Amino acid sequence: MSTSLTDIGPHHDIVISTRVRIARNVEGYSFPHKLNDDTSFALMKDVQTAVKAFPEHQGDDYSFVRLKQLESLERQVYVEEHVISPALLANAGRSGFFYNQTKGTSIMVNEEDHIRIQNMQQGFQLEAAWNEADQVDNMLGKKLPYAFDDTFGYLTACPTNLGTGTRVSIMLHLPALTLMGHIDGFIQAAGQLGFAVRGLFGEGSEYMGNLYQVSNQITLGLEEHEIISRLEDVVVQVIQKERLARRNLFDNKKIGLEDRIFRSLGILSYARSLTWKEAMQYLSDLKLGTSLGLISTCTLEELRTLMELIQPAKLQQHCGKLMDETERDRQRAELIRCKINGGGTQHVNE
Amino acid sequence: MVCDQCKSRKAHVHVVQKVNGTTIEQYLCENCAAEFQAEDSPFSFSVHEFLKGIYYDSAQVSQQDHNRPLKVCPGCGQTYRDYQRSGLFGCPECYRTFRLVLVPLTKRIQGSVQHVGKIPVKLERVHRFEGKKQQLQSALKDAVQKEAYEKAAEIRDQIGLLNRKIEQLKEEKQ
Repeated sequence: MSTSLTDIGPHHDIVISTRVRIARNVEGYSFPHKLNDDTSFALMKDVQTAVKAFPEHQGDDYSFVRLKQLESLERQVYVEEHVISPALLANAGRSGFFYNQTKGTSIMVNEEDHIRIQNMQQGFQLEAAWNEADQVDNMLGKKLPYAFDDTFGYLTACPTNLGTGTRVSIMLHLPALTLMGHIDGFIQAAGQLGFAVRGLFGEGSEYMGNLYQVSNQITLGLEEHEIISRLEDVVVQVIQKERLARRNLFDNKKIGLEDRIFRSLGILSYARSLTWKEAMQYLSDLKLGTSLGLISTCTLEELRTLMELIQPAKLQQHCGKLMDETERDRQRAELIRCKINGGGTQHVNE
Repeated sequence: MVCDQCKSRKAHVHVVQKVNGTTIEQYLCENCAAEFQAEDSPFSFSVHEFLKGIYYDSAQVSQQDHNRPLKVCPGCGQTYRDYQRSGLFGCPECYRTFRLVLVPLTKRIQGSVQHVGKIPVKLERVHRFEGKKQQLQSALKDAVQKEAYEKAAEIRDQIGLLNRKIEQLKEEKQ
């Protein structure tokens, strides 16, 4: 399912991915939390008709998935791959999505809003992500009567999304700034500038593996390109600071840094059981060591693939069976061990 | 037994809740039960939790709102109190129904109340036609003042055509 394994994008040593999400609602329907089975299905059909009518048969590139037709594990895999949001999953009985894997675009139906258009790009690619999402928005907008008000802009179920309905977010790997204790300052400063910093899966999720998602809070009163360029300004500075922090650790605290990275490598090479959180922490150390040329056990791309594969649902999918937490921790350790010790990502039974 | 919440997974947890003296019983799967617990905790923070607080505050500020009969959204039947509870609006019509309360509220959340970004493709054409209509209307005034009635009639026809186009587009939008 994942497209992210080959092309890892610009500034990939720090920026994991760029995502643009546009919220839209359709006039004539209540917001999703007020819809019943029939009305939510009718809305889904309207969106389907609009997608099918995309010019030049572009609608054919989308596959349509209704969440209630998926096994619980498959649904979770889509969330871990960031194709859909946890909120779409929460409304699984009545939600679905259209997915164009090649373009990295998903159109979620009946999430918090009727429509959430999302484009995801690898690395730092704000313009590409915006252009894709914007184009899909225009194509849908030609067919669907969007709920819009001259003052409030695009109307959304929650007023935090009003106006442009546009949320832009960048996933950053910031191990050196974290290690040097500058993350709280970053989160605070970003907050003052109207940006939120969150964990791997957005609102309410925990910071793991030194991964931070920074996104705009304000959606009304700014044009889309302003939202994007403000975020870009912030992220460019964070990238510079993280590079500086990495260089500083390398120049001034090399022994301590090497010790930390090699200890992590040691644990990942021999551990028999690893929780998701600790594995992410050690893999984050390996990424840092690799980007500074201190180790070359795996490439950055391979480490990134590993970080994706060791998530609970992805791991179960990879092993081809449902597993409880203890078994997952064991399989996770084994998968990482095989990869690091040169056995490839193939699952090997002992 | 199937989970009462997601209606898909198997229910494993029995939840009993007392709300305003009424007992509500639910059978939930592990995932929904975890979400239920997270939502129910007094220590959980979410955007919706915060917004509920903000609605509550603004309702306190405008005391007269409390004394008035509850206004109901004709689109979805929600009242302002429902928003205080859920932190979500019921339908697009709610923004028109509760406009007066929503303008200051939105300003508090977003720092602004005037949208300046994209407008829907369908509306874009309406806006363009309306701009053109305004130009023609002032040209019509000019022509009448100059007693150029033939030209005025021509312009009036053009305005009529534009009006029909605008109506048509607006109907399509509905």
